[in-house]
Amino acid sequence: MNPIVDPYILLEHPKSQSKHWALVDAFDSVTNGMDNPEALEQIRYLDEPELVGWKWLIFAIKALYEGDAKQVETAVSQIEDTSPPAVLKALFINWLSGHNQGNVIKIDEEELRALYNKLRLPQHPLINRAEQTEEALQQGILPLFEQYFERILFELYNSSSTDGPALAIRYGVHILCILHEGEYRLEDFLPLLIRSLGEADGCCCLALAFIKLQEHNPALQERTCQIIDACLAAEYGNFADSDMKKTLGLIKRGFSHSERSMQKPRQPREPVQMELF
Amino acid sequence: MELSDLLTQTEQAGASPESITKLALVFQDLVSPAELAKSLPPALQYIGPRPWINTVKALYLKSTEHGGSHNE
Repeated sequence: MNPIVDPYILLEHPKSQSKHWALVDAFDSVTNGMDNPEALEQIRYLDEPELVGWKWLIFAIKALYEGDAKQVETAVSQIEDTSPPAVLKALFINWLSGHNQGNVIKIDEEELRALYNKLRLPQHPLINRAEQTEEALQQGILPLFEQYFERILFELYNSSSTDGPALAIRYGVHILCILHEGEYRLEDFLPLLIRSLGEADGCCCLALAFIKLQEHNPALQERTCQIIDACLAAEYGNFADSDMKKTLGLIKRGFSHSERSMQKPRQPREPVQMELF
Repeated sequence: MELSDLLTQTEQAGASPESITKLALVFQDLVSPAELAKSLPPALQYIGPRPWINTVKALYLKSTEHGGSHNE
C-alpha cells in the first residue's frame, strides 16, 4: 500500500469514492474556517491505513484552531509515525508547549517553521481590541469603551488559556485602576463586570481593584469591605472559589483591625468640662 | 497599606499560599495591553489546505530516499 502524500490525488482516480471526497472536503473546511459536519462525520470512521493518518491530521488541525489542547494531543498521538502527515507532529508539539507551558520550543525543519509562521497572526486579535478599548476611554467614548471592555473580559475569561479567569481579572483590575484615575465611580461598572465574569468573579474583580487602589488611598477601605461582602455573599466563581473567598475574608478582617487601631480611644470628659454646660 | 505587606499579613493570618500567589499575579501591573499576549495561546489564521499539504509533501519526500515510495 503506497502512502498518500497529497489527498487531492485521490480525486483524480477514476474510481474515487465518496470517502475520498469527504476527506478532501473535511480538509478544505477545517483549514478555511468553514463548518462541514457532514464530511467530518463521514471521515470519523475511516480506518484504511493510507487514509487514517490524514483523518487524524484533519482532527488535529480542527482542534488546533479551536484552541483545544487536549484534542490536539489526542489526534496527534493517533498519527502513525510512518504516515506522511507525521512529519507535522513537531508543529503541533510546539503549539502544545506554547499553550501549556508558555514557552515555544525550536522547530528544526525550515519548511515546518515557515508553515508555523504563516499560521501565526503577528498580533493576537484580543490585543488589538484591548488597545482600541483604552483608546475609546481616552477619547471619552464611554459606550464603545464599555462594549469593548465587556467583550474582552468575556473572551479572556472563557479563553483556552490555562488560567483565563485570572487573566480576565488581572485585565479588569488594570482597566478599573485607569477608570479610577479618570475619576469614574467604579461601582457603576459592577453590572458590566458581573455580565462578563459572573457575580462572584465580577465582585471579586472590583474588590481586588479597590484593594490595589487603597494602597495609595486608605479612604477606599470602607468601599473595599462593602464589595468584598458582596463577593462573599455570591455563589462560588472560577476565580473566587472557596479558598479565595476565605482569603478575601481575611483581607477584610485585616482592614477592620487596622481601622480600629487608627481610631483614637475616646477620652471620658472631665467633670469640670461637664460643669461648663 | 502596601500590597506586599497586605499579602504577607493575610498569609500569616491563615490564607493559603496558592491564593496569595494568584492575588500577586492579578496585582501585577499591565504596562500595555500587549503584555496580555504572553499569557494567551498563539492566535492562528486560516491558510487553506495547500500550505499544510505542501509541507507534508516537502518534508516527507525529503525524509524518504529519492522521494521514497509514494503514489505520485
